[in-house]
Amino acid sequence: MKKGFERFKRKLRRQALIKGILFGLSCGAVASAAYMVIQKMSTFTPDVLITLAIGVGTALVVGLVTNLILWPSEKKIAKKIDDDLNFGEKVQTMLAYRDEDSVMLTLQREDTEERLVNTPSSAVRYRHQWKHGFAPLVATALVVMAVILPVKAIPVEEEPPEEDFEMTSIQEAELLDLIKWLKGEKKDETECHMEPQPRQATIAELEALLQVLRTTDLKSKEMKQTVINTIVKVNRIVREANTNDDFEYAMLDDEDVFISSLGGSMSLLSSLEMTKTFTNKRGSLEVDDVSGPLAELIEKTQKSLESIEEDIDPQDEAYMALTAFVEQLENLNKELATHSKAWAQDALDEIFEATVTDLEKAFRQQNFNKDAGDKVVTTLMDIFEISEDEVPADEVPKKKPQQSQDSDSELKEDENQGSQGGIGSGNLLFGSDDVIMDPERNEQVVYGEVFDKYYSIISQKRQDGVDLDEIEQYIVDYLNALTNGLEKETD
Amino acid sequence: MESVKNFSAVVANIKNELRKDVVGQDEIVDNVIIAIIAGGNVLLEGVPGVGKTRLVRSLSHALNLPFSRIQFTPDLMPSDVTGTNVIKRDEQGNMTTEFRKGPIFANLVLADEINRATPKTQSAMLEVMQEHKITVANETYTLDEPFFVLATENPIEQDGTYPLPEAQMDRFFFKLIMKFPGTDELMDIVKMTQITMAETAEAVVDGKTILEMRELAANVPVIDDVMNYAVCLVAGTHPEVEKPYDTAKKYIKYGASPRAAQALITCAKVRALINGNYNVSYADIDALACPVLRHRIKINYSAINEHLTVDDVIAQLVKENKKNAR
Repeated sequence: MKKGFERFKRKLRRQALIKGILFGLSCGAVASAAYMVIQKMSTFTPDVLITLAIGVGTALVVGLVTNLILWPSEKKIAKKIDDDLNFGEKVQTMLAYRDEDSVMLTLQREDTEERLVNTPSSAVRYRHQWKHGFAPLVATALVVMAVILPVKAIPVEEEPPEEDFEMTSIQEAELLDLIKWLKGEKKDETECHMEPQPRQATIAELEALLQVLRTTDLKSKEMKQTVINTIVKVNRIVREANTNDDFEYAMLDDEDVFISSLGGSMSLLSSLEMTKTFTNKRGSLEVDDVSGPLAELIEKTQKSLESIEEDIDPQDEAYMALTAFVEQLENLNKELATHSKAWAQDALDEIFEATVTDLEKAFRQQNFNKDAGDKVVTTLMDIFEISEDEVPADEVPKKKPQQSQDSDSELKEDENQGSQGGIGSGNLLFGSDDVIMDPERNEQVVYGEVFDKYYSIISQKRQDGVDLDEIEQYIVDYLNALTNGLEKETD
Repeated sequence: MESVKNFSAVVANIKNELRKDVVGQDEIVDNVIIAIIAGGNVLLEGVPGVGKTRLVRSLSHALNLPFSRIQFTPDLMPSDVTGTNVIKRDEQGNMTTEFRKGPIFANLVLADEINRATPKTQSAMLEVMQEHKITVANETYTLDEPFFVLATENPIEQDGTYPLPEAQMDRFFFKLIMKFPGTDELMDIVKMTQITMAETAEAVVDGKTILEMRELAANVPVIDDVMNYAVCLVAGTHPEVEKPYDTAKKYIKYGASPRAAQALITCAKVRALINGNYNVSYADIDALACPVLRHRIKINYSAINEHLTVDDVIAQLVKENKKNAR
């Protein structure tokens, strides 16, 4: 193709390339700006590398596609030249017949080429070039705007204005009732059996709380925090008074089944579990030669006690019971050689029975402490409308866990023999086979636990020599309380 | 190559000679020259006295070609046009027949008021125009080339006329409308004819040159886009096609035949060369649209109702074609 046409072709293709590049860059800039704006409006800081990658990637793709689509073919260029220079389709004809030869065609080509050579290339150009500058300007403006735009702040929910707390007369009365109960001044409720020392400490905390609530101007949130602090203190008082946690830590993870089982029963303060543990262990000692197992039992129990003797009060009832257990077993072991097997078994029976009784007593008291503490905590939560979510999880009184697998299977066996708990008959059954409402703690507990407590209380009264009429009245009151608990459950 | 380059010069010379005898009417002169070079015939419409006969006579002088004029009347017979065999006694006294050529035997023929002749005479004339041959008594006589007929129609006296049927009109490349001259032109005409009524044009080419020019023009290249443009214009005159132009749908009763497309391209090539171009352009097609199409399409009552002439409708068609086909 002659140089006249080539000159125009080069120029127009150069312009088209620049157009495509500018458009691609503009689109890339717009894409980057859009990414930045979206990120900032979503409260994120846009990543520089990603911004650049989006911009460059978009520019490349759009530029390439634009150039592919808008790339001027020779035919388009010829048409543009003809239109711009008013050549009457000369260049298009020259292009269409470039491979043919004839006098007319030669003349036509020469004539066209001469005209092209004599025409300055500036006579042919893409019109409205300023439009191609428009896109980059807009893109630049968008990028600047996107860069300047600050990152949107994370919306903070405005908390509603806190209300002032004012203790109601009902709340005050209920708090005073709680204190009276602890002091033993409430006759129409079940007695508080908390030990004196933790009881006094708890009363002091509650009276301090009452004083604060009466005299200090508090917001609702502050009030709740104050009550929660009291709850934490009460729980600490109970934990310090009870020693079951110490035994749990020392024994629960022991390899020996008897020790770990004993640890488990200590953590739950379950006389039933404890009795089962000792019964099972006693059963394993009904052998002809008991010396070996006995020695092992002594060694393991001794070892557990040694691990907690630094932390525990030597006068602690459970510790004293287990220490006495070990001593008695040691004494028995010494005497084995000189006595018969029957004698050994009888001695073991006595030792085990005595230990169970002592431990029951210890459990009983610690259960009383815990129950009283739990009651104080739940009552405070009720009075001041504090939900469990607002109190630290380990400060909320926990429901007693389900019975062990063996117990479950035993229960299932018993199911076939009819209902094991609750009142009613047939389908009209209040409570369940597993749990019942404890009137003291006002929560559902395993049925066995209520039985435990009930049994402990009656046993204590008998040991203390309480009048039989009084014991009878207590039984009636307790059963009434249980019924009330059941009725509450049905409500 | 020289003859191609000289094409426009030759035509310019012809025009210059014609201007000696014909005042104004430049478009008519241009189109008549185009038609004669292209090998077609022209239908000329004009009131009496505007110079139709003078134009053809002057053209015959400039081209150095024999000219004849046939005044058509209702009683004109076909043999009056073509010629007939006459009985003749030879020197020995024997009776023989001799063919006496009619006025059609010329290179340039003015068929004046062709619409006054009977259809029979018209068809005899039109057959000659198409075939360039005459058959009389089983004897065929070929007319000399170039053969060009300029037929006229008087737009005023329509009583007792036999308008040419559309099928016959189609045989004319162009229909040209010779308008009454302006006052300045009229003044020039009067001044000129006061001196002499005779044509003063001189021969500048001959018939052979015209034929050579015709052959040259046939070689002018036309790109497909321009060809398509011309074809779309002719097809666009038809309201019954699949996607008709809006103008055709609205204003045209029936459109032009394929001869219109042939005439457009053939004449466009000549026009291109006359203008010094060596290819056909869109402008050539647009310029020839009216002469080629005005006698080949029939406008409907909608156009008449809106006071649109055929030329107005063709102008709209050209505009629509520019939008669609380019």
